[in-house]
Amino acid sequence: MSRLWNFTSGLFKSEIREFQVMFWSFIFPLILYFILTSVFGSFYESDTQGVSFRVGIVREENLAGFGKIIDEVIEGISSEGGPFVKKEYGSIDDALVDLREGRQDIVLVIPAGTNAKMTNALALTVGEVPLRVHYISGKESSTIASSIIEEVINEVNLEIERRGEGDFLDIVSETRVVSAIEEKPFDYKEYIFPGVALMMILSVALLNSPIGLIQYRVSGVNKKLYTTPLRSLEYFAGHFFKLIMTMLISLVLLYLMATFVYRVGGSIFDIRFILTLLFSMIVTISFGLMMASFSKKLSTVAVLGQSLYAIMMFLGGLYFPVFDLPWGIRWLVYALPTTYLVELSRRVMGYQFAPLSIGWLIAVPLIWTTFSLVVFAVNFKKVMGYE
Amino acid sequence: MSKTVIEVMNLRKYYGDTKAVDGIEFDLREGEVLAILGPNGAGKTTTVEMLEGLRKPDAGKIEYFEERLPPSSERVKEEIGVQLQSSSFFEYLSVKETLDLFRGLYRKSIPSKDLIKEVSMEDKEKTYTKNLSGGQLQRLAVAVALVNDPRVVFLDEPTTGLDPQARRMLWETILALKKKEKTIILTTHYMEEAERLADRIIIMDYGKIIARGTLDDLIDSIDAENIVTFGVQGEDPVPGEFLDMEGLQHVENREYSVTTRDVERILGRLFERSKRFGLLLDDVTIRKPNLEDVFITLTGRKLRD
Repeated sequence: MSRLWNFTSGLFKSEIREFQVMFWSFIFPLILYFILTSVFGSFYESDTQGVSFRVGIVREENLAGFGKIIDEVIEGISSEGGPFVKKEYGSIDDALVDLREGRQDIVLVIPAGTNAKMTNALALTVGEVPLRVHYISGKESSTIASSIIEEVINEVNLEIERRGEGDFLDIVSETRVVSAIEEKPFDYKEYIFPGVALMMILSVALLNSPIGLIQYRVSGVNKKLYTTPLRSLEYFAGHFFKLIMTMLISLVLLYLMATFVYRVGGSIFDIRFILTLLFSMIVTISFGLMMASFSKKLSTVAVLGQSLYAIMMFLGGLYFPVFDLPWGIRWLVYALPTTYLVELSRRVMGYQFAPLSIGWLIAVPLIWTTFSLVVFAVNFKKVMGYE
Repeated sequence: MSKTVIEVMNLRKYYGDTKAVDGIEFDLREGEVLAILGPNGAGKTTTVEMLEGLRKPDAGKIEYFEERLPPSSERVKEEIGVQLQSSSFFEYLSVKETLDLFRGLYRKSIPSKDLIKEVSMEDKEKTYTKNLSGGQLQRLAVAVALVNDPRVVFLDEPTTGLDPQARRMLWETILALKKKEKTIILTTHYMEEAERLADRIIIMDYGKIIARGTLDDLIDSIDAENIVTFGVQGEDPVPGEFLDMEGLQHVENREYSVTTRDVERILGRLFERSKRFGLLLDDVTIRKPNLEDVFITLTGRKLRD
């Protein structure tokens, strides 16, 4: 153990003394956090004007007769310029999956028997017409959409009452919470924190790590180490811990800035959030190792690292939403592990931007990690070995 | 009789059609300094890298100590110290930190301060390795090779590229190790280095051992008490008939040498022929043979060719 610690601390000291490492790992993320927060902080203040909500419609029976009134209401609210964009679903299950995974803000169910209930309510003025509204408690867009639907239904009831000169229609919305996330207002400084943190983790994992490995091999440092009793596993454990130490120091600096300069709240101290950052470190380090195992030359690994770093950073949704990009690029968004990692961190914070379940957010990076480590293990001797 | 520390049997290493090491055999005894001498590409470095466990032989065996351990065993790695032909370390660690790092990789080690003193680098203790000169890096490499107080030390061309002063300084260090009865394998293409430091010498060429023994054995083997060297001025090229002389070797340009026990006879023939062909002899010297002469006699080439 002391051998591993001795080796790790030596590697770590040698690395952080290099100005480039110091700048890109420790200083640049703080500068970037400052720039992004200064430029976009006020730009993203809550402004829902012109925003469309997504509503999933489930018809347990097709509307006819007096039931058509509800159809007209739905068409009205989802027409151009209306507050909703609707999507029809064949089954409630499909609609609820999309609601949970963020592809819908709300699901409106027209239950079986609505036509008869509408007839009873309008012709006989008896009974209620219940519509079911499913939403996610605490999710801002879902809660607002739910309130709008309730308001619309109330307006329809009043309008019919007014036109019917005393006839009373009572369409009621029966709201059901599908799942709940902590309610919170949007805060750009908090929103961007996981993006900057992941950028910093990426810079260490995709630039410092593979470049360091190849540099040590090309310069002959590894060759010297191979003549000592240091085992391959210890070598990589030392490398791994060195990266973790570098990332942790950088994260501490970022946390200090976020806490004391920008007063970012407690969500970044949530243990689940910290675990997602640790998870991100492991995923990206594995990715970096795989990259190193493909490269024999320093120039190759530098080009590969810079390219993947930029792609993962910008198409991974670290700084802005990427799920509205054209499909020609969006497939890449879905392929990148960073898309899932940053969304996972933000999900823990209470935001949801990607139409993906928590399961996918964990599974895809895990698949990448496994794949990367297997590729690295297969290529290791070919690329990292001395002969 | 001292113990055998390393035994090498029928060792081979091929790179495609190139036979880098072609069936060599030798052994090394405790406290002995063995120099492997040869021109660039002779197979010296490939041989020592197989001994150090850095390369796997295509055929043959290497066994360490009485236990007959392979070079890859941890016990062997604990007992050997390696100075590689080109030395590279973590650039942003100081000399002392580098030694501390390597000390930490072994079960037993010598204090860094002692090693720094041994290679006379006290004034560079806190200097980052990236700021060291070539000679200082080589000295650090030797110090790193000694951190574990090894039984066997490999020094692969330790003085290549060094100025004469730095070279002599390193020789002193190696002689001090010899005094401590360390077993040393030294590869070099400087005959003077081998002559001065080695107990036994192996001469390699094209992957094979072409001669072995002590310095005296090797010099005796060329059956010459003296070497006559001379330059030729005049007709270009030098007439073939002039050069048709037993034991004559081309050194370089218009310089030649003859190994002989009968200096007077050779000088007489040289002056007689030079007169006959209208040539002028210059820089005629008579000296005792050295390793370079052994190599030239065996291969017809200079060591540095």
